[in-house]
Amino acid sequence: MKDSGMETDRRTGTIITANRLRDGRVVFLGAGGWTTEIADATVASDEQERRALEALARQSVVTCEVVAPYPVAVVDDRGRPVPVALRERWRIFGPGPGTETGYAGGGEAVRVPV
Amino acid sequence: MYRYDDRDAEFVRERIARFRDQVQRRLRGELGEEEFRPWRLMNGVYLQLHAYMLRVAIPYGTLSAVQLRRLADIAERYDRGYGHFTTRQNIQFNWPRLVDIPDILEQLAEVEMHAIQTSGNCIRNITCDPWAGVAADEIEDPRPWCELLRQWSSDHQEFTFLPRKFKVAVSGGRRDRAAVRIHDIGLRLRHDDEGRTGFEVMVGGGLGRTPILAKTIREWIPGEELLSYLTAILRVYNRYGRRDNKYKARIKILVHELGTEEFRRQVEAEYTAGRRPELARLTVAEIARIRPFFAPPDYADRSPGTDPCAKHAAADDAAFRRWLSVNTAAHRRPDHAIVEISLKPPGGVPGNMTAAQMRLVATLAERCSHGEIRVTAEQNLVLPHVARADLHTVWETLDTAGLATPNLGHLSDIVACPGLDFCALATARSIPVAQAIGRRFADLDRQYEIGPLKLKMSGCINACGHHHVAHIGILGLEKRGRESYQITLGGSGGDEAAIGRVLGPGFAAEEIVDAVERVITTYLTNRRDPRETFLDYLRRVGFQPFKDALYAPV
Ligand code: SF4
Repeated sequence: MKDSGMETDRRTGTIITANRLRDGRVVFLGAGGWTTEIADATVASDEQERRALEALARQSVVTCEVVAPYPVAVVDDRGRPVPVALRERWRIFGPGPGTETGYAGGGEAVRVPV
Repeated sequence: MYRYDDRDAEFVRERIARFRDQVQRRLRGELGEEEFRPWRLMNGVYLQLHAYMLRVAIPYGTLSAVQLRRLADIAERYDRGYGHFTTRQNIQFNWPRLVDIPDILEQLAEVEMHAIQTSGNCIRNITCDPWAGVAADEIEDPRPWCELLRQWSSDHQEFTFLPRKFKVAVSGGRRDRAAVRIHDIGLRLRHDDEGRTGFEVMVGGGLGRTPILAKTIREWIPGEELLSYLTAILRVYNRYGRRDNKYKARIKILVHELGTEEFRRQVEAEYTAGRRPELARLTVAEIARIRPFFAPPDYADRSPGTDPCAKHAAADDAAFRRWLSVNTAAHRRPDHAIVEISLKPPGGVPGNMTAAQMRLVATLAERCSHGEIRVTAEQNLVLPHVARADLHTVWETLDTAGLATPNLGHLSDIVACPGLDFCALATARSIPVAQAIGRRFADLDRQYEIGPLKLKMSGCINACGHHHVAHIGILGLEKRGRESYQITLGGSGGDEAAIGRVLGPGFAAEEIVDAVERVITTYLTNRRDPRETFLDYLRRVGFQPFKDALYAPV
């Protein structure tokens, strides 16, 4: 698995992300298994912990729970891991507000309920 | 419109059954992702930034009202209530679940649609002039030829695993509205001196990291020889295309490396050696079979003498008049018009449409456009057959749904790819930048003062937003962990096709709208008179005034 992180000096750890096979949703490996909440992701703080997470992720690929897992460098933001790389931040926190809209007239963009 | 015959229907049904089985095997673990990926891509299913994405083919941009209504149903039932029309006249759904996709494909098949060959290294959806069959300047309707090419290229055993994806566009008008010069193969329909149908053949166009305009390698090939000639091109490409390097694998690189003359020589040699008279006979017969599907609808005679449109336009109805002059075009019948539906409201997402809007347009098309809709490469829709007498009603109806913004061909008619909000390959966001520019220039009077202007943007070097051929192009990149937007100027699609030039270093997300504003102000302040368009001005004075405006120290 390739590390997508950048700016290595600021990283405080690594989490593992993937897409759920059945529906493609972005998920993170946490203590209780795969979760859609990044706040519940397990942060590996050294190489050994990271390798252990990667081994678990590979197992989940075999059991068809997730697809394409990879590690992401994160920094701590008030107790919540936040990815360092721009792409990973958008993958996790995007799409941005208003970008899923159609348009309902009257000049206002309308967010389609999720 | 073309209707599937039994063979078409059987082919699509069989592919869905096979894909359903592949999905089941994938979910059970009998297929790994490596094995499954080529199958899912062949059926238009990508794994994007947040979820799977399904790209549905809209052959040559032609949709029926029934099909559009079905897309609305799919958007609501399986996605988040909207779809995104792309620069290749297709539609994308951003959130389908893998487990649902076989069902979605079944529902598409019921209305004769599919997602086959919307991905992968094969011949993709054939694109076409969105005004085909109705444009006042049309030489001949290109759609029967597009349909012929669709059938020929579908599941073509020899051309399913090309070195890279392969895009073909066909134009049938005196003006090129299909951007043929930015395609792997661009075809322009022409008649010879005896009135026989044939094509000018252009090869090796494309954008991406190496933008190149296609070169003409044949001034005219008779229509019946088209398939033999295209086969020759694809064989030369299949044989010598750079499979060793993904970034050099498109046919444009082969044409460039061999040189146009040598490429032409090889194609002609292949064509002469492989020409099959029976293919020419088959082409003639098949075109004769297909052509009636594209016969003009049964237009009722709507004489201009009783034209309520003229009455409304003459009346003090400024909003309608604006829309009439900007969003409608000349139809081959004087009592009809081509209506462009803008999917670019101020602050909207270019190309997005809600299910409710799709249903409204479907109903409108049934009532006022003989049930037909077109999708344009500029991410708008077209009602191709509107009686002028119905124009006021059509405008009023579109307006209730936010679909009557009179900005076609103007600054806020922005083309933008999904960018980093959705796309796994993106390096920067496009949609919010397009929204911000759309809002900044929402004032229509100002847009009309600026005049015709094409602004297009892409969220990475792959250039799906066609920024290279925009008058003002914006490319979103990542620089040291931040988004950086590079401006190109002077590109153009269509007849005067040109690749734009990068103006200088990029701008941060919070600076890019102001930078566009400075480009516009430079033009407005210095143009000779309002008749000098942005592109004319740029071609007259060059890039320096814009560089000064953007980069000179304050
Ligand atoms: S240009 Fe890049 S970001 Fe935009 S859709 Fe294409 S691949 Fe994605």
